[in-house]
Amino acid sequence: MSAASRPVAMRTSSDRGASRVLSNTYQRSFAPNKWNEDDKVNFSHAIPRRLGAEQMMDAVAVATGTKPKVQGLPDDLRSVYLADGMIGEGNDFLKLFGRPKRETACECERTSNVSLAHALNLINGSMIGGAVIDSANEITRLVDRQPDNRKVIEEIYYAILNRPPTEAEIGNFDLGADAKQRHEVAQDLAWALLNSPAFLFNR
Amino acid sequence: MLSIPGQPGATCDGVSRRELLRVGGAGLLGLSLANLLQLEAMGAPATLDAAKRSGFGTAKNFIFVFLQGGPSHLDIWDPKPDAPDNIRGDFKVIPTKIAGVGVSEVMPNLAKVLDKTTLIRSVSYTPAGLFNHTAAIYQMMTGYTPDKVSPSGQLEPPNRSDYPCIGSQVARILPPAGPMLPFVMLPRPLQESNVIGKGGSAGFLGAANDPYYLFQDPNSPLKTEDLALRPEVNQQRMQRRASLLQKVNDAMPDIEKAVSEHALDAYNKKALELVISGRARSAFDLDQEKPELRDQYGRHTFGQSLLLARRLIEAGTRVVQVNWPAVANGNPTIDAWDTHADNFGPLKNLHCPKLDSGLPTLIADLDARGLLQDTVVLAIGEFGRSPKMGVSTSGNSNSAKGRDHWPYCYTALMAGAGIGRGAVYGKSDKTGSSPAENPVHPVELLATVYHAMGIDPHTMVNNHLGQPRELVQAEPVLKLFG
Repeated sequence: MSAASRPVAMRTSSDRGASRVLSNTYQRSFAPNKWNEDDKVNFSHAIPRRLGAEQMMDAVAVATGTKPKVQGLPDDLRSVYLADGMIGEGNDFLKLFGRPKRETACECERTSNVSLAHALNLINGSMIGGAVIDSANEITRLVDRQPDNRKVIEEIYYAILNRPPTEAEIGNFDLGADAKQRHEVAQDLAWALLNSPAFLFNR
Repeated sequence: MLSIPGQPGATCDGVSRRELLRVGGAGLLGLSLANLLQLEAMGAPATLDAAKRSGFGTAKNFIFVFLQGGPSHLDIWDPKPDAPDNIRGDFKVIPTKIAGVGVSEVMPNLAKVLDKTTLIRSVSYTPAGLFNHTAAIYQMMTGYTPDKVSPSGQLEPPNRSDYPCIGSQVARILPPAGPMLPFVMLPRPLQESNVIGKGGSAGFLGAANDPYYLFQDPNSPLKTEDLALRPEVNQQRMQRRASLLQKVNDAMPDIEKAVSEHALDAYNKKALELVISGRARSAFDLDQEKPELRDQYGRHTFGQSLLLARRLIEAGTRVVQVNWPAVANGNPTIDAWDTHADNFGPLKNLHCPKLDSGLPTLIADLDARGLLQDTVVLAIGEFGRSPKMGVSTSGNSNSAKGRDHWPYCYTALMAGAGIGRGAVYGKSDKTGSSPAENPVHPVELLATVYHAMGIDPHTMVNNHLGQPRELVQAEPVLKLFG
């Protein structure tokens, strides 16, 4: 049994120290196998976590080539750079998704749950909805310069999920030939990918 | 009561599932067949004997007005004009629509609607250990006492092993018929000290049953952009997006499975249904109400929250919980009910004008629209306040004109759905310190609400570990049904 294939809890200091254990821990796949699927405390596999409020906002901006829109935040900064709980306090998205007010030192101030209100915002709010239709975004430029629909789908998958689509996935989407429709379907595909747990969860 | 058209007297017990299927009268109650089967599967209606049927299933909806902070029962709805100086307080007594029953002079509108309600003046419990707000709120919401209290008396932040609050339980067992928010909590989630949401979530029922937290002030224009379709997305396009999302997710079943406990998929489906139907957004639009009625409810967070509650119920929401807006602890300049520092000035000028414009208007408005017939209303705090002023019962310090926490005797108001009209149930002693007649545990009031909704309070629901847990371990107070 190699060190890496042993459960973390069974490893000893002879396995080149804690850093190696940690490194292995962080490399665990989120996909459980049949022996560890009910485990949530022994680091036998990764537990997906919802992106935090600022991470999510920044990730959508990076993936779509837009800027996070937070009042008081310079255009060239991401929302993780917000200096303290007072700045950007009026931002409803950050509030809803659990950016702490920093009233206490407790980590529990930050929330990472999912509820109907979150789903409503992601599905229908301005954060994702606005980013995908922004005429200055990457999707618009991509559809304009890339006549090959297959390549457009590939690029969108790369931008949002950091991987190419499978053949089956490419077959799921049809951008058509009409210029307006190509833009709309590309926007809608980006919207769907941004709303998938593959994007919204850290795994 | 579950009554089947054409069969007078034939009620819930003794009607087989086959008969229900045949008669099909369930739609009148707003219950889908699936709900009925679900109820039946839990053994609810069939197990009730005739004596326990009084008031069963009279309510379709539930409005929970939670007066967080512990309002002073003596200075609102159980005045003691003959008690000694240090108990009586500053307010005079005024007569009400019920002969011989008085309320405090700071509640003139309440006095006019008491003929539609039942006051329960003998709510009482002895706390298990500490009686601070958090533990008391948890009990009032869930029917169970919390098991993990830190030495400071604070509870741990909410987690998925908590007991679910009553709204989540009801909305899960009786989901709304149409695409509507099942359970709305406004104008903010529960909060005590820095712990947000304890006792006010779906707990072990899972995230999908959490309330929709409005978290906005209904007295200012509400932002409900998340409930209406964006201008560039018409219905057809939203449907295309939904089907694309389905395809995207179907191609990654491993990830779907790994995040299944977050119920994102279930939420997305509900959210899509909601925005495509447009029903919720219109319910949140208080500008559709006459300005005079809005004035009557009161142009403040509490009043407009109650008006919004009525609109949501009309639009098909099953449960609305309105939390008293302020949570600040003991600050006499803020309208929080926790009046350690000064009870009378704030009550007269800050709290009671709001309570007295909002709550009575809600009762009268529901009644005028016929909604009170099938909507049960419960207004209560997590405890009352100490009859003696200036003494410490909870360990907090109190001024000479302040009152401390008092769970041993306080008052609740109930109305609607068969609850007695113009009744007073139970009686407190001469000083409002303990019940003199018919003590009622707050959890029995939760049981009464379940009962009114047509749900056996002893229905078993599995917790996060798969262990069966009763909704509440208490009996409904059947005498409350008039």
